[in-house]
Amino acid sequence: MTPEEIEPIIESEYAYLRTEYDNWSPTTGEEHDLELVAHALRVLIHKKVVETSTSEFIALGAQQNEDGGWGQTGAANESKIWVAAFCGLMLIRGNQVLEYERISGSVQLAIRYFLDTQQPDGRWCDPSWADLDATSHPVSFFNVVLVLGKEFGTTMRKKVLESWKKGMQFILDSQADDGGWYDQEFHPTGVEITAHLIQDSLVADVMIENVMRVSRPCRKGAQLLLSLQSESGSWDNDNVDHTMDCTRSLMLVSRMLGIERECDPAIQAGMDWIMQHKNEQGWPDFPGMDTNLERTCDGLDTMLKYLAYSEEDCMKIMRYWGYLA
Amino acid sequence: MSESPDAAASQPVVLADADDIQEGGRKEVVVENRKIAIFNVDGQCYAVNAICPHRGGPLIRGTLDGYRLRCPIHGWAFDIRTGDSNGRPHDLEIFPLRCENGRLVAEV
Ligand code: FES
Repeated sequence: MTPEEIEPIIESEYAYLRTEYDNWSPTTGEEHDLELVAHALRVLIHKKVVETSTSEFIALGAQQNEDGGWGQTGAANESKIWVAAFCGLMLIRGNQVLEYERISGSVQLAIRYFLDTQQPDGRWCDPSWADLDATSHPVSFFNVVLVLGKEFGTTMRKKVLESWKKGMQFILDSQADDGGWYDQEFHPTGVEITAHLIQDSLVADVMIENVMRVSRPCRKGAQLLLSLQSESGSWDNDNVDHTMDCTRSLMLVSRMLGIERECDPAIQAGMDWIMQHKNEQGWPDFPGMDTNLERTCDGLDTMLKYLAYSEEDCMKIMRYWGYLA
Repeated sequence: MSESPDAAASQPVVLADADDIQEGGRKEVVVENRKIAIFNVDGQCYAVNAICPHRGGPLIRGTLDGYRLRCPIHGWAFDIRTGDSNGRPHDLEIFPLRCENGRLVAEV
């Protein structure tokens, strides 16, 4: 798949996402699942249409709970770690463009929420997710706060850095000898969680003082992912979600570790498989199933990141994870 | 006189021929606009809602370890005999099956 072939598909899939606006936009009600909303806002950020999407970001900010978190839907009062981190992340990134005080205030509240809910050993917990999942999201949010959130003052940033380090340490201590991460209850194969955590660990380490020295274990993690790819190019028994996760993660990790030669064939095979298994509009969870809007957002995100990955400037891909202004 | 809601809510419905699902096999059927997944474990069939109560993952593609069915999307795992989710916020809806004249019947 070449960038030239992908560009028109991005446009048509984005047009499809717009036709589904009432099913994901927080401006159209408080009943939407906020994970879907955050997935869609990430597309708006990577599509560089934040300036014309002000109301969506403001509406998400308005659905924040008093404790600084967000619930599963905009109307839900009980905040959830995973959802809250995803929403906070989209707001801080969107606000790089918008620079709204109100949104900055929301982000600040979200920071407090995560500082308040961290466990003494560095993890965050959410009954819907493995602790490693629940920890990885606030850690990613704090990565971005530390890199982009200059407006939050020295004291708060110091607290965030301490909390981030504890969260990172919890993640790194849980890495297995083969470079992967596993959870017997949620992730026995380790595929999806390893894809998430190698990129989180690596980006955090490189961008923030290089204190964790994770290059070697992350390289092992990337090699583990390569070894788990099927011949057809997919991961986890043709799981579209996990194949997109692995393909995106390898794009970033290979660029950052300078192991493109090793990873590029797997990335290309992953992209080919993803594009072959697209429905006429959108992507399903597994080939042949109906389109799932959230998976469609993931597909758009994957294509947009692939364009960045294909650029000469290796820092460009970092921007697509929000780690550079 | 109008029909009572209970009578409308749980009608016995034939889901499949028992022979359709061999030991170790699985099948998804659509009944009354609902997707139901049937699994045959050790010669016994179990029917569950095919849509994961977490965020809608397709359980027909889940992995089975004994009676434990793991959702392929984020990994919630359910006991297909009881629907128990092992502490997750929602259990899985199950449809107890009986075999009548070689057909699998459940109240749906
Ligand atoms: S959709 Fe099934 S575990 Fe999330």
